[in-house]
Amino acid sequence: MSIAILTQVYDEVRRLAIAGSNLAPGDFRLKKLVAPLETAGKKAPIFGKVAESAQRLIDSTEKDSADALLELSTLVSSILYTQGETGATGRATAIECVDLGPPVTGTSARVLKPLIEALTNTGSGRLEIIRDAHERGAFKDMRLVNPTLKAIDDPYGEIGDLIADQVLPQYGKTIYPRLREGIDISGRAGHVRRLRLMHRLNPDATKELVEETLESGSKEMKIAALGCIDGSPSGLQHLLDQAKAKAKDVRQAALEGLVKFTDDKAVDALVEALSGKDLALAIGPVAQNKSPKLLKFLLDDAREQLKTMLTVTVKTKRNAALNRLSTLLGGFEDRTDKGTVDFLKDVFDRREELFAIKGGANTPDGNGIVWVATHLLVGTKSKPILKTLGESHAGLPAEVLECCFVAAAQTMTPKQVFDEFSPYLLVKPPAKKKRNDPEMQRRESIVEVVRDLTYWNNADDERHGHYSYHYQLGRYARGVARHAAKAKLDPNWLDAAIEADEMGLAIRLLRPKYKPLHAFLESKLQAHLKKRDPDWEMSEVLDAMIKAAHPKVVDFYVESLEKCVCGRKQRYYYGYWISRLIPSLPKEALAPLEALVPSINEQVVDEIVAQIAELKSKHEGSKTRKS
Amino acid sequence: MIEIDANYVDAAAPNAGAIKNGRGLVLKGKFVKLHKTQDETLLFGECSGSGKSNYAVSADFVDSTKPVYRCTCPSRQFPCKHGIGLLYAWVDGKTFSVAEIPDDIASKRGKIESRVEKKKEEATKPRKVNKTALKKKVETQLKGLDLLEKLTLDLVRAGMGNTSAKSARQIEEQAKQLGNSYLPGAQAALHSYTKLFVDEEGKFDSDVSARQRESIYGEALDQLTRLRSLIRQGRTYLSKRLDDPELAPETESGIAAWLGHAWQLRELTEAGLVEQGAELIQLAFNSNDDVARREFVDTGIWMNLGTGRIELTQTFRPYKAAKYIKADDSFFHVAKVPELCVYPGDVNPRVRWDGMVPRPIENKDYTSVRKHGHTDFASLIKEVKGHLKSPLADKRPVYALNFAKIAAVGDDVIVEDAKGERLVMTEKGMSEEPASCHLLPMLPQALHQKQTLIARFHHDLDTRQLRIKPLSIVSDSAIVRLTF
Repeated sequence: MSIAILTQVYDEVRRLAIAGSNLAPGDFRLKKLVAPLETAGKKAPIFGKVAESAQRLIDSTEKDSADALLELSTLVSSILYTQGETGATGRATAIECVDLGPPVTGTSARVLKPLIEALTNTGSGRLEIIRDAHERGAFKDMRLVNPTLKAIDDPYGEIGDLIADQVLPQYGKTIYPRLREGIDISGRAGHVRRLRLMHRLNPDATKELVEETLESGSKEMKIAALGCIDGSPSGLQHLLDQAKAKAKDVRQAALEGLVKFTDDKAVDALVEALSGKDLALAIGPVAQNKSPKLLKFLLDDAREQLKTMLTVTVKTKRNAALNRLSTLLGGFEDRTDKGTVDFLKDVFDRREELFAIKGGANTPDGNGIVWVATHLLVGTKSKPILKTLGESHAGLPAEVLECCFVAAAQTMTPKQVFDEFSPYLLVKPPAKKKRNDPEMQRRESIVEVVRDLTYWNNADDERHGHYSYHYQLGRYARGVARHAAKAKLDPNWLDAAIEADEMGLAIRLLRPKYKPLHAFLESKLQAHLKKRDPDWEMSEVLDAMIKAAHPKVVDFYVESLEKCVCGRKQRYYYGYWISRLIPSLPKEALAPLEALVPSINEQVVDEIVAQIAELKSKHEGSKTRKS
Repeated sequence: MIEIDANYVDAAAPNAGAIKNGRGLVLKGKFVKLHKTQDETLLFGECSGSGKSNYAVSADFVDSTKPVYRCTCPSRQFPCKHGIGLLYAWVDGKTFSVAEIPDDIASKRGKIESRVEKKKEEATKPRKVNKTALKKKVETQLKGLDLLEKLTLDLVRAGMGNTSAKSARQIEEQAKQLGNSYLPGAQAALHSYTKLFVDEEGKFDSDVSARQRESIYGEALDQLTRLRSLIRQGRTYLSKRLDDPELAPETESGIAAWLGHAWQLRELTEAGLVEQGAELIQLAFNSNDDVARREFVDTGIWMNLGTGRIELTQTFRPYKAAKYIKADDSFFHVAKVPELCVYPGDVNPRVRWDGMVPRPIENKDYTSVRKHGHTDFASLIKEVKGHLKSPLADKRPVYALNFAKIAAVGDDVIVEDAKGERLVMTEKGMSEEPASCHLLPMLPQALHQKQTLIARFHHDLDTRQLRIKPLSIVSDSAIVRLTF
């Protein structure tokens, strides 16, 4: 069968159907096909029928041309439907499979639908649904790959980041081509995430795209591409080029990329940045760079600034040196070499001179310099240094005292630390509060550092990262307590916290079944229950009572909940926070809570019922029953 | 006696809201009375609500294939949250005291029994036809077909190139008359044409781009051709009915459904389109927003384990009533159907049942599916082509294929039978389900060899290629669903 002639007829029919059948009568292109069709019709009658139908269309008037056109279309389409091409020629090769484990596709459509809506629509509440699904492992169902790929462009940044950083990587290299086809190097947000993910999944295959992006990509894409550069010479050249870019963000990304290079060109670029306007941008990468040449430059410069500060009397010059030194100190973070330790020790030893230097509106003072130097000294982990710091706490300002505490925690016994530092905590607050009272500031710093230490002692809390931010020096330092993460605290700290009436600290130090703590918490809760309206601290006390296994926790909890959710509307907010503790309660709480439910206000009952259901499922589980 | 667990209750609920609210009622202690009958075929109780008196709610399992939920609340959802809550209370192990069956329920059970008896009696009685009314209806339908013909021919005269979003809207306005002429199917067929010229959400706000238009002309011409066939076949069929009012609806072809005839189960039974004791296994499921019909369509793709035929269940939820109609869901058991009604149709007929009992899938069921798969692609392709040439045929039929391997040829992904005959996979032209080809590299290598593929066929008139879209892969121990 001559299909070519039929496809020509179909194309003409299609053309006429687009243009309108009014143009079909006498159509010369169709006319040309009639004769070959008739010839073919002698061998196969079906062609004859097509020829007749085509002729009818050509001979039609405007009035009946539409029906004639559809008749011809019906006939030709029916034949073409029987002539569809099916196969593919060529060598068949196995599809490269990514091992994602046994395929999970048993999730019902009703469960998948809300998740897909959260991934593909906009609106509030979606992040929670997606995060929850991720934690439940719902994304193992590979049918979610496509909607998840779309969600990388989600206008809500947190969703896009969650998808790119945690969800999509689990599908492995198999999504690489899909990412590649969707990327636009002049794009932003979603395309930046795509590039980073592509590099993470297959760095070799992404190399070319990274170079293309550095050549002609958008600012955001260039920054992402700089983060994808490897340690090759061509990579270094790209970084050196971009270190002189106009955009500050791009320069910063390029300087960060130079961290792994210690050859002269890279060091020269970093030194140039340190010497110019990019000092603040370069100092982080400099701290991580291992080049001895760079360290020497840093030490020489820092010593020079210290000398200027202590010798120059002109205020502007002294402030300039103060500012520069405070930034340069950032370059010594996590360094433990002798030159660094000696320099920082020198700063600490000259603390009395430095304490006398006052800063300006935008300039740190001498206290700040000593504090950072002490902080960095703690980080050197040098035992003699730590011992010196631990023993030198007397009369120091609050921030420096914190560092000394951490040093002492690593060199003294827990009992010695308690004996040395607890007096700061047990200072009685004056009857009339004074502004910037050094005694109270020291007390507060001990509360903070002991509390920080409890976070670092606990692996889960450490995962969430407890940071303290110090902006006065232009960058933030992580809580100094991390250096003593493994140090044990003396048990007497809990009694001291109770005596000092520091509830937050007592909660951090709590020990289950400890009677003085039970009494302390009970008195706190009683005070809250007596108040006309509850406040947020109530939920903290209840949480602590649950963790401390207070014998009357169920009674107190139910009473508190009743106060918050069975009465005035203004209290519902606190009821919401308290109700979140329900799943942590013991099993005995189920019956009184269920008994309380009928009296809970309709506006909040659904939330509380859901929490009770969680407590119940925790202690019971699903059942099957015959009917 | 059937086993009820939380999954059963979830599946019985009309929507996720009813699940949450029903469970909430149990936890809030809203059920003030919980009872069961001695034989545990009836659960009933009282639930306090916002009104003065409690709602009387019950779940009747006297016929386990068709549980009946009753409630005195004003909700239009069935079962309502009180019914769902009652079942949760049972699953959660709440105490149900034994009590006598309430009089009203006993009388309702009696009514149901008598209704069933009456139905059986009626089924045997010859049906009376109101000839005058039927004649009037058929005449109206014929007039409707005349209107459809006029609209179709006007469209062809003006040309597809001149159809814009604005003119599509005008045509739809005129097509409303088809609904008044008892031709909802024909109306939907016309909408299938007009929807090609509007945006994805079915709105008439903006015209589709020139590039997009070029890609839809093939499909649009096919729709016009189909409309012509529908008019011609419909006219012949209706003329016959006008001459003989006693004539039963056509069962040899799907023309009655095309015109919008809503088949009653009784009509199907009378026509002998019933299979006794059927067992079906769901191979795929999709929930599609049919803009042309203005409704959601939940489609289950099943294999009849006895005959090996692939059949479809379809739940239509018009936009306006979607809230009150229970959305269908994926089904992961074998459905044991005492009476399976099969609609007229060819390759994948629509099926319906009045009641069924689920049973867990066993390995022999997978074996049965695989046994029914087509092993010779060449003869299957011939069969598919023969089917597709009919203008009113389902243009995207589903088949089971026993393949030797799934592999790549250049940029194409193919499936090959033991004789080396190949079919190429694509997503193009098949928007019923979400994309699925990209999932193949995520499957274990073993699923690429010697398994059964459930695939949808589609012939692209522009490229003249017959392609397939993978829906599921059936191994000897699982159905791996690639769509939803």
